[in-house]
Parts: sequence; C-alpha cells; structure tokens
Amino acid sequence: MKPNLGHALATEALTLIGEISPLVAGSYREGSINTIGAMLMMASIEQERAAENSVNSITDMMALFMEAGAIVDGDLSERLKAAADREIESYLVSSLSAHRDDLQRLLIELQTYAEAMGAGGQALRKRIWGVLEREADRNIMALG
Amino acid sequence: MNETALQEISDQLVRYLKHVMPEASGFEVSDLARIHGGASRETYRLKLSYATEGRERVRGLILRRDPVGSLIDTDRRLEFTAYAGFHGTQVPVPAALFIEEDLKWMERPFFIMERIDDCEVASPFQPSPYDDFGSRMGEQFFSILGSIAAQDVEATGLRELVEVPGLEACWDKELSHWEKVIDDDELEPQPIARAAIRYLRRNPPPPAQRLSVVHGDYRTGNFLYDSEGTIKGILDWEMVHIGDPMEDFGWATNPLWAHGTPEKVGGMCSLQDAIGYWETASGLKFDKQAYEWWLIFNCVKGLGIWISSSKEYADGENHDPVLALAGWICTSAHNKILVELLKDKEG
Repeated sequence: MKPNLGHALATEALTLIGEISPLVAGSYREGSINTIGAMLMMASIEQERAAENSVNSITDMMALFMEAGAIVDGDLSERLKAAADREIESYLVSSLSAHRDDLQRLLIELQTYAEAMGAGGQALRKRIWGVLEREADRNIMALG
Repeated sequence: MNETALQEISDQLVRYLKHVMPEASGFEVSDLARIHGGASRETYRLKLSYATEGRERVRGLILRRDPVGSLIDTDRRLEFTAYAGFHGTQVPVPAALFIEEDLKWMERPFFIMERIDDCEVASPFQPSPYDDFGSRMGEQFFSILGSIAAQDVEATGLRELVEVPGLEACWDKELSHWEKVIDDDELEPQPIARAAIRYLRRNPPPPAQRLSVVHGDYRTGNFLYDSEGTIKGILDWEMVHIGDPMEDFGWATNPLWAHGTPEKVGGMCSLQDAIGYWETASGLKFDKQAYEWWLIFNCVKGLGIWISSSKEYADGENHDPVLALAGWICTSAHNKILVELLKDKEG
C-alpha cells in the first residue's frame, strides 16, 4: 500500500513547521518556511477535493443554465442551452477548471441579464445567488 | 539571503550614510537581517553605530528597499511622506529619516526609518492575539483611525503626490481602480466580485463627509504594540491616498480581520464601541448607508489585492509564498463574506 498523498503532504507540512522552522527561529527564513508549510497543508486539502468541487460547480451551473435557457431570450438562451448540454470531457483538474471557467463567464453574463429584468427576474436572481453561495461554501480554504 | 549579500547591503548603507550625514563618523552596521513585513518591499532591520558631536550613538533602523522590477513605482515616496507627515501627531509612526531614488547607492530606490523596538505584530491568521487587552487595544486602534481621518491633509504633504477626488467622486475613483486591477490580473472568472461591482455601481454611497488621508491598509497585523497592549506604531502606508475616511473604517472592520471572532471587529471590540471611538477622534458622524457600501467595496478591494498577488506569484515575478497563500485563503474568504453581504439584497 502506498502512502495517501494528502496524508504525506500534511505530514511534511508539520515537519517543516514543527521541526525545521524552529532551527531558523527569528530569521526571515522562519516566516517563509512556515508559509510553505501552510501551503503544503492547503495542497493536502485541495488535492483531495479539487475534482469533486469542480464537478459540483459545473453540474450546479449546468442545472441553472437549463432552467434559465427557457426564461431568457435570443442568443443568450441558445448559449445557455448549449452549455447545459456540454459533457465533461476529462476529469483532469486542469480540464475541469477550464470547463468551470467557461461556465462562470456565462454565469456572469446571465446574472447581468437577470439584474436588468426588473421584478420579473427576481426568482432567477435568487436562483443565481444560490449557485454563488454554494460555490463560495465549497471553496472555503481554512487552516483550522 | 546569504552573508555576502547582507555584507554588500551593509557596505552600501555605510557609503550612503556617510554621504547624507557628513557631520557624523565611525559608521558601523550590525545585526542586519531581512524581516517579513510589507510584502511589496524588501525590509531589513539593523543597528547603526556612529559618532556625532563628540558622542557615540546607537540607533535601530529599518531599511525598505524596492523589489526588483518596480523601478518606476512611485509609491515609496508616498509611503515615506505619510510616515513623515504623521510623525509627532496623535498617530504613532516611526520617524522617516532618508529617502533615496538615485540607483547608484543600492541599485534600487529605498528609504530608511526609525525602528520601534520591543513590540509585536499580530498575524491576521492568529486566533485571538489580543486576548488580555483586546478592548483597550480596540479603543486605541479606532481612536488612531479617527485621528488619521481628522488630520489636516495639507499638513501631511500628500496632496502634491496623489490625485485628489471631489467629495462625491471618492467612491468611483477607488472602485474603478480596483475593478481595473481585477480586469488586468484575474486568472479565472470572478462571478462574485463582478456581481458586487455591479451592485456598488447601482447603489453609490453618499458623498464623503470630508476628504481625509486614507491609510489604505489599516487593519490588525499592520501595527506594532508592546507587552502592555499599547499601540506604538502604525505601519504599511504603501496604499495611502486621499479619499473618504469611511473607506479605512470599512477595511479595519472587515470580517476577514476578526481573528475568528465575528462579534469583535479586528478581534478587539464591538462594532458599536469602534464607531464611538472613531466618531470621537474624527469629529465625523458614522453613516450606516455609507458604511455598508464601503464594507462591500472593501471585499472587492481585498479580492483585487489577492487576485493581483496570485497573478504576481503565478507569473513568477515574485516567489514569496505568502502571495500564493493569500491568494488561496483570502480570496475564498472574501468571496464568502461578499455572498453573505449581498445575497439578501440582490437575490
């Protein structure tokens, strides 16, 4: 059995912060080593959840676009429907990130459109903020 | 940084000090070390020994040198002028001593200021750093912020160095600046920041009550305090400008700086107490509508800072890991804060 990557990163982060950093206490390097340790800790969390977070973002936006495509007009409607139908091509984190970024650009456009709809856009605006809230929640980074 | 590089800086400093202090002699630099602080510039602490008027003197100093690649940056003069302008007022700052923009001395521009010893700086990510004297610290922190707002702008010398907006234009100048930073530097789309920017433009704040010096990064982590809990120095004036004093209040009370205690602004005292201290020292009236606007604005400004840091790190312009770490932690935190502030207003 090989070591779990997240566990290895977290273990080495603690070695840096707990064992190596005190050897250079009071120096500029101490701060840098502690920061690198914190970055490793973050990386241990992110490598575990990155793909799932991106997939959840993508599917959340696709569901929104499916609904919104029936509400908005013209070219935007067509592009929303196309984005809602687009399949995930690869589960590489870089590929998922690129897919999510494309959808987020469209989300910005949709939200701007919904803001101009006046009272008639209330439900759509609320729906969009729900997507943004879930996005913010799933990406929270905390060391504690 | 190796010993040779430090020795080179030490030699350069001595040559420079001989030039600007011709009345003194016997210069000796000791305890020279690079320290963390103010990520935009290389910062060093040192001890300087010299003789003048027949007496031996020893002085603790801080050297702030521009990083590679920012030779046309003019902010150093702004920062230096702010230290000089506030020294001797109710706003505690280290004395600004020398600024040098001629590259012949140290390859890059730099300035030298007094060192304040025997003090601490809290990390913004440290839980409850002010436990024993939080409320006393809060009174000082927000009173000093009020004093900055009350300071005569003309007396600081900053007016000549920065664009001065009209009372009604402060918000647009700042929002446009940070929107452009996000436009230029974003590595990925920012739907939450974009929604916030649109909201801020649709709902502008009332005009500033007064044009004041705005520190620009007035928060926990940017001041020195002693073991008695007395604030001895307000630092990191790189982003100083002239504008609406509510901008600083909205940054100082941003939930990101609460040290995990949302009921205490800056991890120090209640928002209500902070308002009282600030009003007394500034002579200004707290305006809830203006505050809410500047609170949201400051999350956008924060995102601008973190996005810009992330870009600098990703481009390899600056390898300081704190830039990447701030990009990760603070971007996600400010996105979350913005959603909480806006979802009921906008959704």
